[in-house]
Amino acid sequence: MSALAEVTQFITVEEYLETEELAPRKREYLGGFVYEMAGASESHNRISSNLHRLVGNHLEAGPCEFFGADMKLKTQIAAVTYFYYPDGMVSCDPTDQDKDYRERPTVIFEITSESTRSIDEREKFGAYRQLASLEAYVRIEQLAPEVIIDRRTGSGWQRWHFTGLDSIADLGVLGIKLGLKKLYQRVVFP
Amino acid sequence: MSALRTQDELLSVEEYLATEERVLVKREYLGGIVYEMGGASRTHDTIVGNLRLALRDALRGLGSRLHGPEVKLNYSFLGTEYFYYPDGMIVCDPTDADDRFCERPAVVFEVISESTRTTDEREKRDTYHRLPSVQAYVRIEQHRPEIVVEQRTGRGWKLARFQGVEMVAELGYGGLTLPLDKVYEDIVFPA
Repeated sequence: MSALAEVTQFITVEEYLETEELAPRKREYLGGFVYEMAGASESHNRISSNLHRLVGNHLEAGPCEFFGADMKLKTQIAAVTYFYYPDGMVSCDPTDQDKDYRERPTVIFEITSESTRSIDEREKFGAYRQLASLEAYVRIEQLAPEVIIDRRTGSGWQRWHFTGLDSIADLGVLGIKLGLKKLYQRVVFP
Repeated sequence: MSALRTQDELLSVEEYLATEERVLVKREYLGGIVYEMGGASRTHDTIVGNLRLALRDALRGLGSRLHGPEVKLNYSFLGTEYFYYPDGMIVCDPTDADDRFCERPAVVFEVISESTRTTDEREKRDTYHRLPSVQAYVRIEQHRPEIVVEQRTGRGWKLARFQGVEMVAELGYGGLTLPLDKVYEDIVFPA
């Protein structure tokens, strides 16, 4: 059997945003190409709702707002446009108010599973670190109590690991501290 | 110990290049952080060898060379330095002459395995597309006869998929072609 399919998979930002409202699955957009996202596990959902509650409560009275996994992040790197769905974002910029996405988050969270590890560690950190607004990138391991935080410093980035349920992961921004016991509440480790 | 707080060392480019010569496992470098690479399967190695043979004569005619998976690609993007080990690179630019790495390949190849599929299809694809020298990005499947060629055009990227050992993939650069029966010579596909 031989078959040669010649396809141009390119879609514009407008086409993406239009079709994304109707798409059965969330899709990320990297410079014209779209990638479907996999569904989330039970642990992922638990961590996600704990995170929402912890960060949401902490920010309740202030100007900053927490968004969960259904809010898009839009970023433009050297004329190429990207849309990601981070697992969480803290947005503090009052001028960053599009109905479909945020562009200048202060903190980004990803809940890492084996299937998204290389994306979260390599590709997304590469993209997120180009955001001038970003102060901390927080990766939460799903299968073990470990939080890895990349913090922006004057001279670049520093990476911190917080391991064990008694750890408290200090984001170093907005006074957010995540106690791992609460972050992983109800999560059963393998 | 149940609570632990540790900090990673970030490597400078000089430290990376100096230590990379001595390490046992190849590491890719993304803005100060290194990632070890997995070893290759026999199938992967056979495909890389076949690729070299299949392109040798044609490349000689073009005055270019094919480098294999031991050669680094260096690029710098908005102040961040990266080093990758692509499975293959066609290099034609005579000014791209640093002996330690390539900077301006015309064609980049990756042989896809399940453990690298996501990186090859998203992160590396995005990176290679951004490099102005790259005219084509070629992904070679390992467990079935299939080659995907993404070719730069005036209006973006044109994607062509070649399936079946009787196909001949056009690389979209210098008139180069890759007959799939040559690329997959000696490979037994899983039933």
